[in-house]
Amino acid sequence: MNEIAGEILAILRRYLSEPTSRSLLTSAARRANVRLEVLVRSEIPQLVQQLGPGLNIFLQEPEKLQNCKSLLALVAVENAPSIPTESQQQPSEGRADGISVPIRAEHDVVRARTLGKDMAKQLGFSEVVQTKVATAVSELARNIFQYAGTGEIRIRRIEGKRRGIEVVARDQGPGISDPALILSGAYRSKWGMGAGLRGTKRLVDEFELDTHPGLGTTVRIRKYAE
Amino acid sequence: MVMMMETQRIPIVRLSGKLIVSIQTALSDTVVDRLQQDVAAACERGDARGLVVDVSGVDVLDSYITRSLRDLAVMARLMGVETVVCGLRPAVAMTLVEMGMELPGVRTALNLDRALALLDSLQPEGLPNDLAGEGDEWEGEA
Repeated sequence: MNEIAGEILAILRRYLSEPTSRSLLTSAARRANVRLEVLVRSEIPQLVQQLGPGLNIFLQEPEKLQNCKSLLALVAVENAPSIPTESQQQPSEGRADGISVPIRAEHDVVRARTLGKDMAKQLGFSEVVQTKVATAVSELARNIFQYAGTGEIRIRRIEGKRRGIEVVARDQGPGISDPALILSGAYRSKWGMGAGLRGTKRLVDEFELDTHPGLGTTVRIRKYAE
Repeated sequence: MVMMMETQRIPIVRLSGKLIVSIQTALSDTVVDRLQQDVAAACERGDARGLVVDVSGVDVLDSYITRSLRDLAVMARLMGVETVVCGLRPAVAMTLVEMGMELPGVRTALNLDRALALLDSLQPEGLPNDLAGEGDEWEGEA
């Protein structure tokens, strides 16, 4: 098994035992007609595709199954053969735009949070940074669910000089009429949105709040590897 | 695929006059709310003098869940049951401090062992003798 196959194995290992991960990977490789010893990046998508059925059987918890598949899909998209090389980097839109988690029900908050943590772990962030990212995602996702009802959390990695993770929380909810007041701490909502947003701001390196009463709210945060 | 998250429940274990709750799952708001109700019901039965909430299996505590845990502890105390929260992971503790979300008014301990010991040391005086067994604390009263 070479280094590239090792990356895929590392993702599986987060959710499954070592023997299960290995046997899933080898059987998927057989079906995808690729060899793990000499796996190249362009073969990742077909390998990931073949992992699907096995994951369905071995990963019983829907939340973990979805997260594992999302992470694998992200790796697959990033390594898709049609994607041009690094030299042609475009800001945010060009390459894989990360993973999107629709927030519609309460357990989506848990899912977004877990995925945030998994992605931070995948990027090699320390346990503390992983926890901060996951906590921030949880706050943002909960705000969406409680105040707007539905919305979306999008998580993507930041490449370049400073490696990091970006989370965008977007909803078309009622918006926040006085964001400055909420962030100042003078205001306390029933469920503590003020505390949630203020806490989030303190956990991350960059925090941008864009809100329009009646139209919705977008929060963009960035956390860099320490 | 939809799973019925509603059915998920955190068990409350009774052990020699104490309630022990060990959270080993990702906490959704519903699960936390249900835990609050279950703990309240368990306290109401009256045979518990202490409650330990072990959060060593919790890898993320956000503001809502933290507040819920604090509420749970305050509620139990109002019902005469002292609560100790234990097993907070270092990364979780650091995150809470950074967010400015400490757990005011809630006793904490490093692990389950120390939490149980802390509860024992908190037993109010004047309890029946069978509870004062390990008490070295009486000797100071001479």
